[in-house]
Formats: sequence, C-alpha cells, structure tokens
Amino acid sequence: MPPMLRSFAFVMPCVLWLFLMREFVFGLIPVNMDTNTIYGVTKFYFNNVLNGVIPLWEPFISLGRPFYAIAICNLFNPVALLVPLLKLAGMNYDHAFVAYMVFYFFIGCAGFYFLAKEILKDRLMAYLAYLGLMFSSLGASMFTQMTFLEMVVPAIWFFFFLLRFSRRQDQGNFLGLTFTVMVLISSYLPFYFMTVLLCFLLVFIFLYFKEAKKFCINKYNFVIKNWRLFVLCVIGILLAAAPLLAYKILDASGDVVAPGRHCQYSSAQECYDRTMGRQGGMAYDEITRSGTLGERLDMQYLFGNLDKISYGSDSFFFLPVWVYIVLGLSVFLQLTRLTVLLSIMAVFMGLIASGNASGFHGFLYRHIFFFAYFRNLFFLGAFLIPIVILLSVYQFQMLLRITIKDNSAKKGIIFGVTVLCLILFWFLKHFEAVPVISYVTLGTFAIASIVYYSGIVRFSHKIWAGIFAVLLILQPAWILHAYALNAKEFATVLPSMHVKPTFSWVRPQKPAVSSSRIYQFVHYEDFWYDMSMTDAPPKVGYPQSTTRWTFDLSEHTPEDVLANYAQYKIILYDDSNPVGIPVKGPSDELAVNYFDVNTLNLHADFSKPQTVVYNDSYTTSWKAYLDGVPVVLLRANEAFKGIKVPAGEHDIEFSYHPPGGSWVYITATVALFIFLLWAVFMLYWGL
Amino acid sequence: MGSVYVILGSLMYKKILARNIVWWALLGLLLSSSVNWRLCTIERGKYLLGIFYNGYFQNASDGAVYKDYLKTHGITHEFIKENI
Repeated sequence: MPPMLRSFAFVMPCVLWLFLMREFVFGLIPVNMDTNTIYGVTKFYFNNVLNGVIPLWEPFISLGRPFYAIAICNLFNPVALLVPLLKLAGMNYDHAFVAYMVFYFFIGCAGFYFLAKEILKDRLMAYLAYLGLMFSSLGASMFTQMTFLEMVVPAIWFFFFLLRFSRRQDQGNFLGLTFTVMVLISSYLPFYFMTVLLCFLLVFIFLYFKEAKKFCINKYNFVIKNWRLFVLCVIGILLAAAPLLAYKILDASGDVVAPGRHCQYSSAQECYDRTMGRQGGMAYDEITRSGTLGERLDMQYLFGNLDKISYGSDSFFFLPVWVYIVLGLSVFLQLTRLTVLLSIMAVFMGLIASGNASGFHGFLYRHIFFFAYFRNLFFLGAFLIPIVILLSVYQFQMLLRITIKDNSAKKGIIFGVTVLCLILFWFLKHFEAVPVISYVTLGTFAIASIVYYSGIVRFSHKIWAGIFAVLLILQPAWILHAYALNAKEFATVLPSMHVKPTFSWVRPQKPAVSSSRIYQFVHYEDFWYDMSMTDAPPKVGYPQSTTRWTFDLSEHTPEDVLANYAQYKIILYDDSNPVGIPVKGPSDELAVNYFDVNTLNLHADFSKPQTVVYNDSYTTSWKAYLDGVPVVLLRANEAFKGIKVPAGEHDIEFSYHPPGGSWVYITATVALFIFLLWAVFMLYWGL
Repeated sequence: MGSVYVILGSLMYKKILARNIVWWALLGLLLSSSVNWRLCTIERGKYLLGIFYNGYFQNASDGAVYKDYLKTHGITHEFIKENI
C-alpha cells in the first residue's frame, strides 16, 4: 500500500472519531466525574508551574492540605507537557487538557496496532484491532474516567516492548520497556498494572514454559552484557517512582489522613476510628464495598439501551458488536494457546475486578500485600477492552484463514455461518432495547461472510479487510453519536483561564454555586476551587485526603462554629487579648509581601508582641521564618499554624517543605523526558 | 480394542474437545459459578441510587437508562431498605 494511502487509512478513523466526539473535543461539553478531578489537578499544577512554582500544597480546600493528587494524575508524563505548551501557544487550559487526552488516546491506539501486529504478524488484522480499540468505550470514557487511559496506554506499549524484547534483545526495546514502566509508576497507582502483569505471567509461564525460560535466559545475558544500561534504567525507574514514594513517606508520617478511603457507608465513629487509626492499607470491606466491576457493569448494558448511556456515570463499558459476532462465530475454531492465554486473562481480570462477589479477590487480598492498597476494582475492567478486542481479532484472522477444500466443505461452512448468525440474532433478541444498528451489523456481517466463503466475489484480502473494518465501525459510530447527544445536557463552563493566585484574608461562607449538573451528582466541587484558585468555604467534610489535626478538629467541632472561626485566615493574639482579633484585610500593621500556594510572606509592624495564627492546616513539614531566620512553628488552635512575633517591623514567612520538596517532581519529569528521547533515538537510529 | 479407543479418543479431542466451544463453555461455567450475581445487583443498585438520587430518591430526571435498570431489576425502596 502506498505510504499516502496508508497514512490516510490511519488518519481517517481519527478524523471520524473526532467528528463524533466533536462537542467534547471542542469543549462544549466539559469533562466530568474523575476526569473533572484530573483536569482540576492538571490545571492547578501547570498553572502554578507557569507561575514558577511547583505546587505542593492546596491552600484553597479543606482549610489547606497537601497536594496529594500530584503523584497520581500523569503530570510527569512527557505527553502531559502538551498542556503548558498549548497554553503558552494561546489555548485555554480546558482545551489544552482535552487535546492532551485525545492525543494520548491516539498514542494508545497506535501502540495497540503495533502490539497486534507483533502478535498476529498481519498488518490488516492489526489495523482491525486499532479500529476496535478506537471505537470501543476506552476513548469515549476518557471524558469521565481518564484513569483508564493513564493505566491502559502505557500498559499496551509495555506489552509491545516486552514482546519485541523477547524476540530481539536490543537496547532500544529495553529502553522502551523501561520508559513504559516509568510512565506506569508515575501516572497512577501501579497496583492495577501489577495485577495485570501477575495474571499474564502466571498464565504465560503455564502455557509457554519453554519460551518463558528462554526469555529469562536471554534477559539475564542481556543484563550481564549491558549492565551499565541496566543500572541507568533502574535509576530511571526509581526517579519516576519518587513522587509516589514521597507521598507514601508523607502518609506514613501521620500528618495526613485519608477519610475518603474509610468513611463511605460507615458510621461517624467508625469513620473517625479508621481514619485516625493510621493502619497501612485498607480493610477488605473498605476495598470491596464500592467500585467493583459487578457494581458498575451489567451484562444487559453490553448489548441493550446503548443509545441511553448517561454522561453522568463513569461506568461506560462498551465493545463493538462486531467483537461479539466474531467470538460467536469462532466457537468451532481450533483452540490455541493464544486463545487460552487471552481468554483466561480476561476471566481472571473479571473475577478479580468483581471483588467480594467472587472469592478470587479475597484470596489475593489475604496473600499478596499490594491488594490492600487499591480499591475501585472496576478500573481493571479497562484492561478487558484491549484483551477482548485482541482475542476477537485473532479469532477473525483464524476465520479468514479457513481453507475450503471442496464444494461440500464450502456448503458446510456457509450453513454453519448462517446458523451461528441466527443463534446470535436470537441471543441479541433476549436483551432489552438492542439498537437496530446492532442487528444491521450482524446481518451484513453474515452476508459478507457467506459471500467470502462462497467465493462468488473474489476480492483481495485488503478489500475484505476494508469491508469488515466498515462493519466494525458502523455500530460504535452510532453509539458514540448517541452518547454525545445525551451528554449535551451537561454543558457548562469550567474555570480555564490562567490565574495568579492572590491571598484573600477572609474565606467565603457559601460555596460557589454552579448550575452545572456535573456538580449535582458527586461532590467534586473541591477541584473547582483548585481550577479557579479561589478559597472554598471553611469546612472539611470527608475529603480524599486532609491533615490529621484538621480532620480531628472538624470531627469534634460543630460545622458552623468551625466555619465562623476559620473564615478569617489570620488571627492575632496578645497577652491582653486571649480571644484573638481576626484580620479582615491588609493594614499598616499587617500586609502580604508574597503569596503562592506553598508560601505566605507577611510584613508586620506591631506595637506590641503578638502571636500570629494562620488558619491554614498545620503539618510538621511547614516551617516558619522571622526576618529570614527559622523559628519555632506552633500548632495553634489545634490544627493551624502559629508564630510568635515581637513588636516592631518584621517579615514573617510560612513555607511548606514536604519530603523531597519540588526536586522530586522536577527530576521525575526530566528523567521521563530523557528516557523517552533516549528510547526513541535507540529505536529509530540505533544510536 | 485398545487402539480403537485411542483413535476414538484422539478424534474426540481433535473434533470436539480442542475447539473453542468447549473452552468457552468451561470459562462460562467458571464465571457463572464463582460470581455472586445477586450481590452484584445489590451493589449496582446501591451505586446507581447513590449517584442518581443523591440518597434522597428524588432526582427522577436523571439517568433514564438507570431508572429502567432499577425498574427491571426490581430495585425499589423496599429492596433498598431490606438489602442496602
């Protein structure tokens, strides 16, 4: 195929996908659910980076808390740098964020093409796999659950490089493998991927023992021969893991608690005890009481009601009906090791993701330590999409390769296809509100298959692949169109302008009201304040993460009392006034010299000694300075920061220095960027 | 006689057992027997009600597909009281 035509074949599906998703892509429908959170985090991070500060603290939410989400939102991935670059080019943050997501998704689809090509050794089949992934729910769900992309895209590339490395032990493939591991570690909790890898290794070693043994020997020889490269790769992986380790150190220090993990569906006392208990990991019921695959996915909605999928849920799981048709037609094909590998992996993933609905997860929780450190098991469902697509395309390849020896065999196959398609039709009829387009796809698929096997029309393989590619896209295109229509009612505007944060002396008493239905569903408004970098009302609630003392205070203080007190950010105390005087704005006595999310610098000119209480959460990582000299930071009024200031003119500074500081994030970003460039050079130029 | 069984066994293996259909059936059996589907329904009802009704069961304009789902799966106020 000429290069122009080949490029056209790859670009056209992207264009069609962009057209179907145009209202999301062009920002008319805002990102929702967890993607809304990730957008808030990404905007907060890069907005501050462009202001010259790596944000480590969120002063606007929960009376101030560590910026815990910095380690789990793919911020150090070189592709994420598109956001600040596009911002500098004049684009708003929301458009830049969507552009980055979509680009990342297309990178994932391209990786899937290469992976399928490596496995199936057939460009046309790999192209069908590429289309299958693009028109599955993986792409459309990025607007509500970008975590799927964060986990699946690097995992696809990981398996691609793993396969390539198993066939050819060169430095390019090893670097590619290292880079994908770095991305996996730095983008989100790596435990989901570790689960997938564990399943894969278990099944692979069982099925391909000789190959696994050979791979280990080759890998060992490669490491011995290239030990310098190996050491550098280990260093790279450690640098990429540093942000997550920094958060783990902070978590272990006891300064931070995570009520969000413990308080869903539990009594206030139970929530308090579990949160303050600081036990590592989560109890089994905390992991499985919500977020399992059984909770999010119903077999009914794999086939029926597909035109009614709501944008208000992050449980959009959808595979083109083409996939099910092929799997249905493949029942009489020869069973192969690859079929067993892929299908058993899919079943294992499904069982683990089912949580307490199957005994499998409980067994793993009891015997493997990392299963106590992640919930939302339905995220594993995202890995099912590429696995099942790959399985179906492989079956399709085998279906096309059936050799017809004589006329009776031909008749037999045509009869078999007809009967199986009728059974599939009967199967679909059992579901409620199956869209007509699914039946149309099934009918057309049956006709095309009969024509193919009958040999009436003799097209080339490329033309047949083209025909089946159109059938693959037909139904999903219609469903994605319906999904976009349903999402229109969520239209709203998210904060997207660049902000220089300013210090406000008083917090608002009422939340910033948004009429958007996005915020009527779940309590994600926290991140609205991060996006706009304005103060939230002075309350804590049950956030995902907050400081220990602030959570404790909020649990023992009536909400209105805390709100009345903490609405003022600065309160002054002296010997004659133990009740304290709230500061309502700048004055000759106290003014702001400098403010960013990690630092507050005040200029004071008191007539008598004062204790300045800054009603922003205290942690042991905060430091206080008086005229540039470190002084004792007080934990004032249970949960906040205080400093004793003598009479006269002084500069007071509160600044946040968590373990590793900014350097953890800078080095992780630089390391990922260097390893990407290095891997690309080695792969394409063999330098 | 022994060789007949061997040939028959080999044929059975090649014609029937070594086909996807047996494997799909085994996996289907594994899935259906090892998953507590009733619990899945309860969990799903809890999640959908939590999301679309904010705990008050009043936000009736949201999520048509899920309203249908709740209806067809008999997830009613009584069901919630008893199970969730």
